[in-house]
Amino acid sequence: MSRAEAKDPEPYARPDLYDLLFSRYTDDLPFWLAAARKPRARGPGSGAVLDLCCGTGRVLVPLLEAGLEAEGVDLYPGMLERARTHAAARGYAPRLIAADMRSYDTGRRYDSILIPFNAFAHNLTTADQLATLSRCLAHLEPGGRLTFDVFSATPAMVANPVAEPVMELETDPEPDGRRFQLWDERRLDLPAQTQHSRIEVRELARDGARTATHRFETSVRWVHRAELELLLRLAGLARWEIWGGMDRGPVTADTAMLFVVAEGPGA
Amino acid sequence: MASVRDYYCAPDLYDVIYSDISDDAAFWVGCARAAAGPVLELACGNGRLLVPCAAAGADIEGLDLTPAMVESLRGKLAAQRLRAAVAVGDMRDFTRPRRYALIFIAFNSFLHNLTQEDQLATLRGCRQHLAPGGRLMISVFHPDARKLIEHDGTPRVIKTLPQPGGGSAKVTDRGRCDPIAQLVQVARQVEMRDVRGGVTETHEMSFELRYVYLPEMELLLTLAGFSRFAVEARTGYTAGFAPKAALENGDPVVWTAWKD
Repeated sequence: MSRAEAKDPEPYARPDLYDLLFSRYTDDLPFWLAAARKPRARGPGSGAVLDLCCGTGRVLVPLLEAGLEAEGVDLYPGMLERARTHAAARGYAPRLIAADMRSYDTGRRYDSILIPFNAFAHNLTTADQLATLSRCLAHLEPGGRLTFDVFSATPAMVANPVAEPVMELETDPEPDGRRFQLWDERRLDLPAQTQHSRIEVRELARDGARTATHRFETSVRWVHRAELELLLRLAGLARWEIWGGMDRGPVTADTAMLFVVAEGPGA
Repeated sequence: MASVRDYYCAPDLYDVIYSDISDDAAFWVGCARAAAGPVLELACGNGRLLVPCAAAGADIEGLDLTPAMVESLRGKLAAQRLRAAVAVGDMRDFTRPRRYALIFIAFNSFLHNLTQEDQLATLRGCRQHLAPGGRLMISVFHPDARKLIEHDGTPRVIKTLPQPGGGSAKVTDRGRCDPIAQLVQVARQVEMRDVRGGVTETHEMSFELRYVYLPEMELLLTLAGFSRFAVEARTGYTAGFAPKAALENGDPVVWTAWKD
């Protein structure tokens, strides 16, 4: 992965900032909860769910609160530490494992594996993508389901790339009046289907003055639907559906995020 | 793929439309001559590449889906007193008795495979027909989002080619693109004009292509059983078709896959 070349750290190196920016995002929770709750497959399924790349537990904690037996895997121990704290605050002590999605082994199988919030796109090569999918397949109960979303650059995005930094979000003020802005400056490597982001998190005081700037870098690789089907097939998944959004609508020319549910053989 | 048959049913017109395209011929002649055994060109058409390969002494055979193109090719070979086994055949489903040191599919013809099953059937058939150590080579364009977006149904004059006798051929395309199915449909009009600019003939035709991204092609080759492959960017078909260090969108790329 090209992360080694990055001068600034990944945003996941600052779980506290990550939470300030994203912990209030809940629009996708119904989708992930529904995916995790899918009726149990035939056979002696456990009903267990794995949240792969669970981060600080934004999705994991609601899964626990819904009564599911959920576990989490994430590459960043600092993110997991924060997930542990959030879960404990609600009375849960889920099993959390620091591991790479390309090589994880939790020693058990799940009825449902989720890779929420575009984390799959951090697989920057075909080999990484296939390794992740095959680890997931190895962790699925017979008839179990893998659900994930992944960036898919539209022709319009690729044809007219935005060179300047774009403000992706601004948080509501904290009790002390601080606000946070997430600025993203993107560079597209078209043959590699990779988007390199230079991220600035700007901390603003109540009066709007900037009091701190935190710099990060990260890269994601987008996939096209046809390519995604070949990846699923080559990894050994047997059946899948691909949607253009969390409303399970069709993929269109404007679809920038593909939502996938896939099953292994032997269901 | 009825439209493909329609498009290629007028070989003389095909020669007119692509009279400006010849820079890739030297490349393929070099590949065919360097091959350590027989060569097969799939979707060879009426021999824009196969005829110079045969003339250079390559042991080359050709298959094409369209009988009219094969017939035209046979005429060109006979006119130059060249011998090459050419036949009507579908790249997705062909059987030949020989095993080849080189099979090639040039000039975007692979993109006439409009489904994943067609793409895989073509690649698997090629692998089956390669001798051990043999190579499959495919040239396709790398998708250029800017061009794909231009395929919005608006007529665009893509070229005007001078003709022998002083006339010209004006080629106008109306393209449509489905970026999810990765399909480009082109309705093409060719206007033949005389030396005074008067229109003497108008031809209408259409064809469809399914374009392929680089990682997608790696996956297709892997699924078809190839474990070793490489891709190289080239300058355009009217810009020398020379090797290029950095791939840009719209460039032709040449894939090579080896049968171990």
